[in-house]
Amino acid sequence: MMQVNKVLNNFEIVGTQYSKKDETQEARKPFIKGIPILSVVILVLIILGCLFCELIMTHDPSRMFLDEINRAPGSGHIFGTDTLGRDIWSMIWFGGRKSLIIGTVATVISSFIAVVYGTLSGVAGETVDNIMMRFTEILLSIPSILLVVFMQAALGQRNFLGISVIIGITSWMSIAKIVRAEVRKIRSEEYVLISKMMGGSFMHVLFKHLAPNFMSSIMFMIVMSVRSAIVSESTLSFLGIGLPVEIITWGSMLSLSEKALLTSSWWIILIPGIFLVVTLLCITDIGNYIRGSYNSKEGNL
Amino acid sequence: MLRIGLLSNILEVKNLSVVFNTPEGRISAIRDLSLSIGQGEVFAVVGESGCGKSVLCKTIMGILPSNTEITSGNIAVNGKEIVGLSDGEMCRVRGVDISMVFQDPMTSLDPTYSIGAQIAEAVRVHDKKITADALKKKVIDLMDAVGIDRAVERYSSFPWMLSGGMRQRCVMAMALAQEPKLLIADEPTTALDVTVQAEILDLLKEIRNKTGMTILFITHDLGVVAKVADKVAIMYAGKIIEQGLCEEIFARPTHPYTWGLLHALPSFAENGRLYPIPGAPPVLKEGFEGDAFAERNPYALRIDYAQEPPFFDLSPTHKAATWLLDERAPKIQFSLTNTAPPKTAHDIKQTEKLMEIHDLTHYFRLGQNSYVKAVSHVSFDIYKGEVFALVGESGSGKSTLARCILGMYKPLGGKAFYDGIDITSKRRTRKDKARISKEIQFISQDSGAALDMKMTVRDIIAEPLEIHRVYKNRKAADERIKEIMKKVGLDEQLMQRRPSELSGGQRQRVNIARAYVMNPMLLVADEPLSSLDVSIQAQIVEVLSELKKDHETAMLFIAHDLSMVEFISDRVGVMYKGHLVELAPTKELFRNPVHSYTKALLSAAPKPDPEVEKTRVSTRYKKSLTEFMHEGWEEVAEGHFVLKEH
Repeated sequence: MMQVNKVLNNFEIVGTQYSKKDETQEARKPFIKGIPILSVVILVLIILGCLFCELIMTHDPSRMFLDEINRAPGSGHIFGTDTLGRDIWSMIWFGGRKSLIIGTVATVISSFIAVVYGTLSGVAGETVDNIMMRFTEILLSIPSILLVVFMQAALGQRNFLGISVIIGITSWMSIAKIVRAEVRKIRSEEYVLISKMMGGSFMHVLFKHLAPNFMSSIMFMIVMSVRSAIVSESTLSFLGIGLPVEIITWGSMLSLSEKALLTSSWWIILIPGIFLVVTLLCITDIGNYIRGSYNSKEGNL
Repeated sequence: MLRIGLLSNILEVKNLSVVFNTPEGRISAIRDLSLSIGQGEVFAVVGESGCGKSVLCKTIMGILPSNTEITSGNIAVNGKEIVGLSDGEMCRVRGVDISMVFQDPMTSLDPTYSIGAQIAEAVRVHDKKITADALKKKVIDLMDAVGIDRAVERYSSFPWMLSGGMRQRCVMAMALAQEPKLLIADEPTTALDVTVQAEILDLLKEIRNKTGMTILFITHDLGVVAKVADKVAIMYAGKIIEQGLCEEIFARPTHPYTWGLLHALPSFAENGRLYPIPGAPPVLKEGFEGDAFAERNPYALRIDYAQEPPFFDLSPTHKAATWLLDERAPKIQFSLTNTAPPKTAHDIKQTEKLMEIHDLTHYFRLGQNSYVKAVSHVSFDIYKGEVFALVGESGSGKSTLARCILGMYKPLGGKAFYDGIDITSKRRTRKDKARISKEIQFISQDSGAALDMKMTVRDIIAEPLEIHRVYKNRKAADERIKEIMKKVGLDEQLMQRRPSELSGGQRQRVNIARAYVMNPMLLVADEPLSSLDVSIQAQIVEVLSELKKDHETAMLFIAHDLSMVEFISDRVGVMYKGHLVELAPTKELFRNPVHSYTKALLSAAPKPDPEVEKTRVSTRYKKSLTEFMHEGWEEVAEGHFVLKEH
């Protein structure tokens, strides 16, 4: 069919194998690129500070220096003292630990409920799905503060684990709705059909396909719910229906603010406020990054 | 062939270069491209996806996305320079001088307006003073001109009421509203069925003959090119690499890439083998040196890797950019033997039935008392080790049938037995279920959607092994996965990659590997080729026929592309609107089609040979369902069955 008659050096047939440059594999995108470094560093510092608060506290956070009430920041007390004479620097770290734990525990509880409920609703038949979703809508239509107050009253005792459970079980609805929508979408995807056809059981499909795929879309919501749990606790404590003043959290520190306003001691409000806001901003920033990176990965196709 | 070359050039593109700005760097989409199209010509640009042919259209229309940049060159339409025009100025060129027909007629029409209103909009944009009566008359004239019958009634129809072919006619009516000098048709028939494609192509030619309009026709299908084009340019990696009259390109292809494209077609297969082009088209960074095709070119010269070949003239109209034409290069003769339908490689012992389908019927419910008969009363058998092809246009029920066989749908009537097990029955034992899910595997049309984007290639292929706990440890499974990856032509290094990092062809190979890793008895392949390029299609067909040789796997191959069916299958069933109308051994069917629908289908498929195409008349088939129901079967030859017609 084809004949090679003459061969000249530059015009020699070398075929597909020949390549002058050894093309190395495409360099992977650097992992660090685009990560909000500042937010991560600040958040990590705050978390470490809170976790190892014993090492940096200068005073016992619950000890009241009755002769040093409402001290402005200065040499004895770095951030001053509050209206009960407690050292704010120590309270920030000690209370921050509780606040972060409340945020995390509440998020774990709400995400767990959301994933289970959302998946069940997503794979259920039309009627069950309808009932389950209408139920979440009813819950969503009740102001969550009202729910929390109600549950607080029902539980009676106020401690910080109790409040995280309450926040957790009143904030799972919107994540559950997203999980349910994703599951509905994914379960009719071709790869799920093929997996079922190959004999994959419900559990196999759930853990191999559904969970990894909806995780990416609720990651942002989960990170954000850490934030909103901290906010809820602070709000409740500020309103006086959360934790009592003896239990130190950022929220309960802020609850002293009305008294502080009378004496114009700004540091009592501002310092825990700044810590709270900075932490929330960092979490939001990281959450946005997570959302963006998942979107761009999917946008690759 | 009417008024070619009589007048000046309508489109003149000189040294055009377009660059994409991407996060990975600047990518060349079009490199130093020049072409000129004379009045009344049909100029076809052919290439695989990613070769820059759509970018070329968009550049001419001035609708490039914002991350692109024209780095050099001129485009003159009807003597008017359009590079550098503002958007407002371009608006006066678009529609009047140039207009465009897009690939998918569904997405280019607005579902909330009637088609009459949409065509009227195209008229009114450039003629604001037109009266309502004149406007309506003009729209109806346009609809007549593009072959929409009952135009007055259809004036107020909405796009979703019309078939794909009718919609494409509407889009064409909109494009023709201002009688543009140049019509750009970007894959206008790719989304359509073969018989509809033939009608639209005939219409385009008819319009050209009547009005002398110039058409820039973009396609990947060489059969379509042979049917409509006067001149052809082959494009690869943003460059035209061969250009000439249609007859010249098919009679004397010169560039190795053109050889590759032609050789990848089933009509030019030799000894029952296809010759796919290895590899996939490259993505070129700006400033690339050498011939972009060299790495896929078995005849690449050393100089190809260093220096870009210039154009060598073969005749006043025919030129090609390859160093093989240089006088210092070795002379290579290339010939295409247009062989008769390839023989099917092995004989099937038609004794052992693997799958029996009896009177299978499945309706979809639309609303109360309204049904779509997706599959009605279909019966056939699949024998062990054979490739049974189901052919039909979209909506003929072939995918529904496949899904019934796979157990995704529960058919309303009829039975399907796999080796004696009733698939349609709910009361199957656990053992039978496990056996079926091991022995029947599936390859789907959309290679992307069938893969979980979150999993690695290894995990995807391992999934059936894990479900059925075939291997005790990971190492043994990995061995098997490597073996199957090698068989389907995937590099071992891809094991840890994710589907988003693979090309379309590689993804379909992963699908095939996942299906074959269990050594299935029956493989159901639902249009496994239709989302792929010609050269990639040939690669996949090669993989499938290699596997067919080594395994005893029977295959139900669903397709609308008749040429590939002819190549790969042993027996063919033709479906029309839910009915099986003809069933025959492949050779017999293509030699002697009996049912008039089969004849129409065969005559509509374009062949990559201009001599045949220029003279051929395709037959039409339009029949309602009821006309051939319950007429019974007739055996016209051994194993060749036809549904009786009036």
